[in-house]
Amino acid sequence: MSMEQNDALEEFINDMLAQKKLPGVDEQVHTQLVSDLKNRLMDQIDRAVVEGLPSDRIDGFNELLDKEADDQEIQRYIVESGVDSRRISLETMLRFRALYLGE
Amino acid sequence: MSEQPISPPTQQDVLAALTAELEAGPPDDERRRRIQREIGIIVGNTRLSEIVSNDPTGVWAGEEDDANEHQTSNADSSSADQRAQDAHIPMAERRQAAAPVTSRRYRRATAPITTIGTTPQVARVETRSQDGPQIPDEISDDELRIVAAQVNGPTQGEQPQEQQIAEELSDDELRISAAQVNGPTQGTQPLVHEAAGSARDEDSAEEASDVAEDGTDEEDGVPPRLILSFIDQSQDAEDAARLAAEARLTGELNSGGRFRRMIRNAWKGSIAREFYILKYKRQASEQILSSQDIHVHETADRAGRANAQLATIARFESVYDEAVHTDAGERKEMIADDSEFGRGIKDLLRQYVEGGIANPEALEEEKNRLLSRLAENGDMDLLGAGTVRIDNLLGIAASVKGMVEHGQSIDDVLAGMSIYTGEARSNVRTEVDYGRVDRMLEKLQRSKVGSLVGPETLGLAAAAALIATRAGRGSLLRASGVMLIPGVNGAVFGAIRENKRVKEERTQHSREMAQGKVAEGGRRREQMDQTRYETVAAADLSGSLGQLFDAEDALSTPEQVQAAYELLSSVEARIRLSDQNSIDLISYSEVTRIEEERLALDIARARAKVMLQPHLGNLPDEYRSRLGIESSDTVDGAVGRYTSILDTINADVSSKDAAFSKLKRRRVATAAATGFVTSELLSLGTQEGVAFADSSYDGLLENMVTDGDPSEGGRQTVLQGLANPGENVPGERVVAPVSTHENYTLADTPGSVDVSSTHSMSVNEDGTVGFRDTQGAVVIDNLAVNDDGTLPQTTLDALNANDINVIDKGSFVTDETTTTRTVPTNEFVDNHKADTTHIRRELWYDNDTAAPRFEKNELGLSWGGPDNSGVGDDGVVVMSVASMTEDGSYHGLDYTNWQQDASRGELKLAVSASKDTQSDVFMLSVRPDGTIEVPKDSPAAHFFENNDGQMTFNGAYAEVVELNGDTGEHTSVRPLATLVGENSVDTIEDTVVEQTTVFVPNYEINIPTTEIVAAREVESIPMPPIIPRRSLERVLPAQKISPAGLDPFTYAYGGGRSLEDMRKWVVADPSRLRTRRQVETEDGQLRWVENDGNPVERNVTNERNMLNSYLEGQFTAEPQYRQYIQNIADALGPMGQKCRVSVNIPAWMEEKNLRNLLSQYLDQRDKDGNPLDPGLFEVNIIVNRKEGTAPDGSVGVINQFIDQYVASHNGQRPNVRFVDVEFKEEIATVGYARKVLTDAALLRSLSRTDQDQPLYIESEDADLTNVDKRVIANLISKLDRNPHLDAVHGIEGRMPEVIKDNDLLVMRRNAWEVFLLMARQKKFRNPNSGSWNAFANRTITGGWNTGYSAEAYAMIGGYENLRAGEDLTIGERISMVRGDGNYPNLETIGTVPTRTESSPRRFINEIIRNKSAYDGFGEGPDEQRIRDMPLTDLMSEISDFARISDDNRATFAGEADMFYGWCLSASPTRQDAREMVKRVMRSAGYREGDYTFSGDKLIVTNWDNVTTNLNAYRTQFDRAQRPNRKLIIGGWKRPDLRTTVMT
Repeated sequence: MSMEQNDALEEFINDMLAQKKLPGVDEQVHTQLVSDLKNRLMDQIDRAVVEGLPSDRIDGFNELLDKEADDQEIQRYIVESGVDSRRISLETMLRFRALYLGE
Repeated sequence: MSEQPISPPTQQDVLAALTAELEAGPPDDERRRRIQREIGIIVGNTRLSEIVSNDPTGVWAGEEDDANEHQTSNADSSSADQRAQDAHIPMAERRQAAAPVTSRRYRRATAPITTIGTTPQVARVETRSQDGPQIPDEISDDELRIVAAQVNGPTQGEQPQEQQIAEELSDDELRISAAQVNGPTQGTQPLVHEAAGSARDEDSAEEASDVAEDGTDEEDGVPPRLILSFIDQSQDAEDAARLAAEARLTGELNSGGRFRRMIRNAWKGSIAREFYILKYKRQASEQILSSQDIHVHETADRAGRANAQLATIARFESVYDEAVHTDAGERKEMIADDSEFGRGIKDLLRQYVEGGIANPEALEEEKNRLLSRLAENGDMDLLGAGTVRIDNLLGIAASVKGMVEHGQSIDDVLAGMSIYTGEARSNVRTEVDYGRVDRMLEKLQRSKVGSLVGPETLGLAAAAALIATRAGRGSLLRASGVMLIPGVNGAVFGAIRENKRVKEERTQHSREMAQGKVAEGGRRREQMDQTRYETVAAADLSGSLGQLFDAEDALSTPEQVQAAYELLSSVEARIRLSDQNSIDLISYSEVTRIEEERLALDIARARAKVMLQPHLGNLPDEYRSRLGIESSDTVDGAVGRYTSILDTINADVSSKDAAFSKLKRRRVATAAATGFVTSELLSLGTQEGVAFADSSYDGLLENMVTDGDPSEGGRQTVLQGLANPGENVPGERVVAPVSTHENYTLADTPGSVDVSSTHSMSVNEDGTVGFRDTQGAVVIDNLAVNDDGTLPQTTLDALNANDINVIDKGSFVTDETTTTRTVPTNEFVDNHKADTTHIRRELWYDNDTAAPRFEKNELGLSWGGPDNSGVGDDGVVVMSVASMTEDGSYHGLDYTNWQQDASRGELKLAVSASKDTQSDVFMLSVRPDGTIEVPKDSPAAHFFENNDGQMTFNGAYAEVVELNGDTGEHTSVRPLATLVGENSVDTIEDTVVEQTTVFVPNYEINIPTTEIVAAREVESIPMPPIIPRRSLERVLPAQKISPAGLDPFTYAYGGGRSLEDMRKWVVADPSRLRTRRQVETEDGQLRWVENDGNPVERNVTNERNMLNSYLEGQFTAEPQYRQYIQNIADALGPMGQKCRVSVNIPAWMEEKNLRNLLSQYLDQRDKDGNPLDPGLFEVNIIVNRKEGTAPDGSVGVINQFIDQYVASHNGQRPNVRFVDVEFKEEIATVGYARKVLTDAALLRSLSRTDQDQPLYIESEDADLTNVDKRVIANLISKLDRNPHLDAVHGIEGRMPEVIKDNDLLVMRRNAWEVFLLMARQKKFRNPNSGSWNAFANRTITGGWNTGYSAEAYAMIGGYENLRAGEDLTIGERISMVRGDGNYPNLETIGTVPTRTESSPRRFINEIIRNKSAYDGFGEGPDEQRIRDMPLTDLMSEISDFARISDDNRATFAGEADMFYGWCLSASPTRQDAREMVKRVMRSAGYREGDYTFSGDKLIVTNWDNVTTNLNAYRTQFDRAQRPNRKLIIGGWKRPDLRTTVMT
């Protein structure tokens, strides 16, 4: 995960935690919390992206996974499939946040 | 009934057999025809019953075929309940179809499925011969019963003990049974399995028998070929778990009351839907894994599930490529003999045969060990994930063992065995999206891929998300925007969720429909159905293929070839598109029959290709040319050229997709709008609520309620912010000038300005000034300033114009200058005015210095200091009055003591500078000791002079004075002593301070600020939308829905009326329609009203009008009818004025029972048990017979009864009338007899002159054996109290003292009564429901124990001229007339507790004859027989069933299953039926736990309770003095209809 992505996601997660008004936790716990949330969020984003794949692109995607393609190749394939990753990511983040905060 | 039928081979068995047959090689013509015939039967969607009935060989029926024997017929006569059973004949037939035929010997078909350990086993052995028929072997009845029990579940005809055995066997026992069945231990014959259907005639049977002798085909000696299959169903298991989860959730969302459904839908169906789906899926997966059965959630029908597994195995064993759908992801691979797996498996089999592996359990263990080892070695691609896997290893092992034991070489057997692995896709094709996604995500997680979304994209999305979420907090300026955020979020979330859900629902609906389920109805399903791709039933396709290819002249003309080609192409296209696109273009009848029907279709396709191949060249030339089909083409190649079907399908797909898009858009838009509103309202509402609890949070509502002031600087809700915009507008808001100022001098002028400290003043070169803010920005500039420091008016105006407040604070200032100069004494005194005291001397204390010298204190002032020099220290003037005496100062009566004055400070030295200024003196203090010092700097000092050491006084007077008050203008003094000075001082050098006054300009300049004020924080609380949405309605198992075209109104008895018939009857005369309905009053009560809204009421005027109208109509239509009825009326005599009930009884051949009937009927009682007023009712009998028929003795019996009654009642005549009528043949029906008698009653009623109460008609039969004493009272009471009721029906009893002695009879009658009571609960009574049973789910009218109002009778046009069914028609017509024209209103026919009994003879005969009780009612030899024969004799004919015994237990088992069938036919779901039948069974004497359910079958497992209860019932009945005539065997409590929940 790049620094930019890391920073933005962490800021998003931290902001979410701030809104959650969690009781004071020590730094180590907080870091772990952020990490867990980040992983959960990433899982959901991945799920949403896969769901957004057109049916005729599923097989190709499977093949890429089978042949253990690298990140760039996979991401390029996603983009070429017409999946609006940014919109999906944004929607997933907002939905994730809303659910997490019990909104 | 001595034959105990057993189950025939299943359809699946037949299919498997045919598969083997087809695999046997190129068929010769004869075999082909036979195959065609057999396949045609199977694939043509023909039920097993049809197979049985159509089977020309009789093979299926066995040697002692009794296929037509019904064990569960329902029966009887003119009684309504008997006819109700007739209504169930379709059900009985349906059950019969699946039930039993009797056969002693069956061809062995496919071995049973058993469940061993965790893997279901399917044993199947295929025989292959080059050109001969397949050779079946034989199994015993015992073997087959066990097989049937396992595969089909126990059937009605099975031996009860064996049923129990089959049901109660443990897995281990079953496994052993399977091995036994497949192995040779059960018989001496080696097990050579083949298709059961291959031997269709006696020759074939014999041939089969012969071959079975040595296990080889007699003609070629080729040993059977074994096929061992390992099929992975992991993917199906995954899909099945998801489907089960969806189905469970859908069911939950559709259950419960409206409120609960709403809450559930909001939570489970919306917010937490995914959570529950995953939870249920997990639970479903666990069950699937533990059962190793992918259909475990679909149906409780174990046999059905076993068949589905068998079908899967069979499909993979097929040699046809068509059977494995690679497009759908299926695969099938042959395992090489020399592969590790191949060697391993064959080695296991070898060990098993040779005893190295002792038993099936060990073999199973070894197999699992082998598979585990292969998995470790990475061979999972071959075997699949193995989550759920089915195989037929144990069955094959048993077969191998048997073959070796019968002389075959193990090496030969194993060499001839093929091993396949494969992966199945057993479900329909509509893809389970989540399963697919889950699978890919699992794969993704296993991979090294970090994220599917690039870091930049993710970063941008996160930043945008952050901005979006933070936008919810801020100032009021954004409040309006903030306010919209929850709504917008809600709309977005709602839209996203709905978009997803609606797609899921389409998938779910398509899948369920393809699985043969039927929607219960409802708008959601209807909408989804409009977007569902058109499907064609697999069975229909198979049938169509069969029809085209099975015809005798099939493919004999180019047109036929073209039709066959196009049909095959269509089928191929549908299958290909379904498989490739994961959609369903083919449907199936049931979920557990998918595999079976799919295989049948695959075989039909394959067969069609085989047959079509040589005829491709016979296609019409032009057609062939147009499509480009060459004679040398393969069929597969040729069918691909037929594209018009693709166009058709694609057009359908496109239009349905478009319809779906439209539906989705509409749903999504609605969800978005709803989401917006609900989120908005929730957000605002929640905020206001939170504000109450949070002191630092101001809410509008809070402030309105508490009238409190907003907290300073605290957060506030959106509404509060919007309501107080002035406080909260951020940005450049003008605020008041600060109160602190900085002073600036106006250069070169005496003026200055005080400028607000938030600003500064600057002076320009031209002398003008300007003001700037702290940032240096000019507020105003170039303001002129006058030379004197004042601001000119222009400047003031300019400042004012800029909202700068100017306050003129200019003032006059006094300036002092000090100069020293010589001034005259009086001026000196003026200059030191402040040091002088203006005095007025009031008196002088006497000073008498004249002779004689008599001085008091008047000379008491002297120089002080040394030597009275008057010079003190430092040269100060010192004086003293110490020489004065206390009493030396007086004047007249005034007196003072200088010391006291001095002590009080009231004694002074007043120094007058000159005589001219002696009123203004310099006042010096006199000390208490009398000393006076004149300080040097005192102005008074100027008037003393030190002349060489002696002080002199040059002023005018130095007086010692007593202060005597101050008037404000002067100080009064009284001199005590005076030193008269030289008065020589004319001028004095004096230092003078001179004052000059000037004006100093000063302005306060107050400049307001335009600072950006941080407004009070306005917060928004985004809330998730609450979008109430209805989920898909439930689906019902296909078998619960009436077959297409079957009108639920139709039943067999009485002429087969249909709902459509009834509609037409109403439409034929619209004036008939007299709709009544219930409306809710303001107090929430339901009230019956007429269609025009007027309340329903019953009155004599309406009745008489209706009767008159009806009769006139009858008489007009048939003029001679008037006289006919009048004659009958005259014969009966006039009706009593207060008669309320006319009891009308047709009597034909009933002379034996009339006395009993009349004597009971006349003994009517009121509700208190007292004799009923005989004037309230009359009994009319029409003794009728067909013209030419000899009369019986009925008239004589009646006359005799009347005479005896008169004699025994003091001459009182009973209110019994009769008429003896002979009908012509065409009208000699019970319907017509009732009609003329009733019409005559109406005419007689109209002839009454003083009728004041409505008239009711009680319809009875003449064969009643026990008449309730409250028939009349109950009827009058019920109808009088319920004016909306048109008719009532009582309970039809059947002489319990007779029927109690026969277990079968008493249980059946009892069960029927209880069943009807249950089925007539209101919740089942919706005639608009597809599962409605027109007979059971309503209160019917009958020929007896039925009452109705005379008005209702006239309203519907009276009785019909029917031989049977006229009684039912009364109720049907009433319901239709009271309905809306389309559906009946079932609520105007009620019940009464009247229990009247009739002879059970028809029901006894029903058991004797095994036919419907009312079959042939009123005619035929049986009719006369049962009338003539004593009941005891009739009962003796069914004595086989007097008690439940080992010999007849199967019949009772079938009887209990029949009860279940009734309930299934009258309830919408299987669960409802089970709840219903539980009560029926309990009332019949069973207890829960005495029986189990298996799908649509009920299986009795314990007979102890029912036997005990039946005996106890008989004993109690016999012992009781007044036995309870209700049929209560096992104890039964009437269900509380308000609380009974059977969902």
